[in-house]
Amino acid sequence: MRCSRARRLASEAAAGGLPVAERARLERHLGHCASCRADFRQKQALWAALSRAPALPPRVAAEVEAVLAGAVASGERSGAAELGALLRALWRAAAPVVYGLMIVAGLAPLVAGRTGHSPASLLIVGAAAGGAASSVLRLASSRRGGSSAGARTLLVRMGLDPMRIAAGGLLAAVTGWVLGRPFPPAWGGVLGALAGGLVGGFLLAVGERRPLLAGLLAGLAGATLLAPVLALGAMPAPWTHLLLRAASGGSALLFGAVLGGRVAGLLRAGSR
Amino acid sequence: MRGRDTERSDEELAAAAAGGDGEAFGELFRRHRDGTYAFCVRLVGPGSAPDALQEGWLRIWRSRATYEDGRPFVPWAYRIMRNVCIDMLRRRKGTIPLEAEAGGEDVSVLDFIPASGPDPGEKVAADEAVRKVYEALGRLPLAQREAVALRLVEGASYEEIARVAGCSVGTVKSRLHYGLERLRAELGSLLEEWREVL
Repeated sequence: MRCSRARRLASEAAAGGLPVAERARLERHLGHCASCRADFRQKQALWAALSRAPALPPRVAAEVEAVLAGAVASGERSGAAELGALLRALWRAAAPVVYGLMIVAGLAPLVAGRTGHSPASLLIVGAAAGGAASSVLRLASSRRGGSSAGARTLLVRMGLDPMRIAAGGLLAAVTGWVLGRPFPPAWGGVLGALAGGLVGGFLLAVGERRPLLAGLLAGLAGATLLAPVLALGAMPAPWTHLLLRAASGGSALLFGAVLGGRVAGLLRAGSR
Repeated sequence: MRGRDTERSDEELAAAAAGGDGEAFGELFRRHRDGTYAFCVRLVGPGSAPDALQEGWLRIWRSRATYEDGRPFVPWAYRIMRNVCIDMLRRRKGTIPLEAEAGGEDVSVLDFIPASGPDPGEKVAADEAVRKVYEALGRLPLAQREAVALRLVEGASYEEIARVAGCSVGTVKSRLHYGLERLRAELGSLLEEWREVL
């Protein structure tokens, strides 16, 4: 080992955090190099001195604590920090859709060439489906930390369980899709979505403190999942037709979920 | 309340503080005031450290909405502290020497938490040596001083330091190395004498 390398490792070793293997290499070098040995000793003394923490004078601690207590009492906030947090939360919500759009934009010409659909309609449906699925999965998985932690915190502060909301939305979407399949495509999707929303919203809202809100959120989650699927069922069609179909299916599921939440709330009130 | 707070993690307290819980914020301050004060002394010097400490914790409180539930609290808080210190240094245009500023307080009042059980004579010698080292630290370029100050934060890994300082792990190690080299070159043989008392 060259001395320049040994001195670099000596700095890391003195400050802690040098891996065992590197430490052994350094010690072998120090065993036969007096100059590097002196360098290491001096750095150890240096670090020992730097590690002596200056003591916080009690007067300063008391003064700062009093100032902070005043700030807490007046509820001071930073407008810039709040705006930054809001922009980051908006980006977190929009990012899955943007990424979905970018992926689908690349694939749309290929798929459109094979199936005969317009790239614009594929783009809309694909981005919505990718974004919705990604959002629901991230929300469900973010028990702690993660990019949907803001949404989770918001739901928890509203007295709702994010895992249940995501699971209820997923249940409503799948139920709506299954129930709608036996019916003619023209109105089967809407009927299935309505029934799925009702089932999902009701089941979710039974155990929640705010059943109507829980039903609404489950309906939103389910609608964002089911609507693109229903729209794809209308292929081949112009994109306006796809959008109309997605909107009617999503609205039906949302309405069903809200209704389910309302019924759960009334039942619970009646049983008290 | 205090008993319950001592059982809660920093992250639980920070999440509660983000929701406006002043008591949780107070507990966070009590837990980390000594560490953040030491960090401020190392970065801006003892004359400005009380102001930096106060401004930093006020900014932490005002920025509570930006704390994301579950994220490690310490790197987030030190990032804010570091920004406050750097803003303060930029306002003053340059490095802050450890010597008393014109009209400022006398830095000889700066006291250090004693090492385990030195006799009184050794304590005086050790404090004097530490004071000299801190003086030299105040003359380091800001980036090197920052790397040293962050590395001295209890439990801080190189990865966390890199995130707080906004650079790569390799850059952190380089800055730390060149900072120590410079201090060693400046203090030279004195370090050999101080080894006995430190």
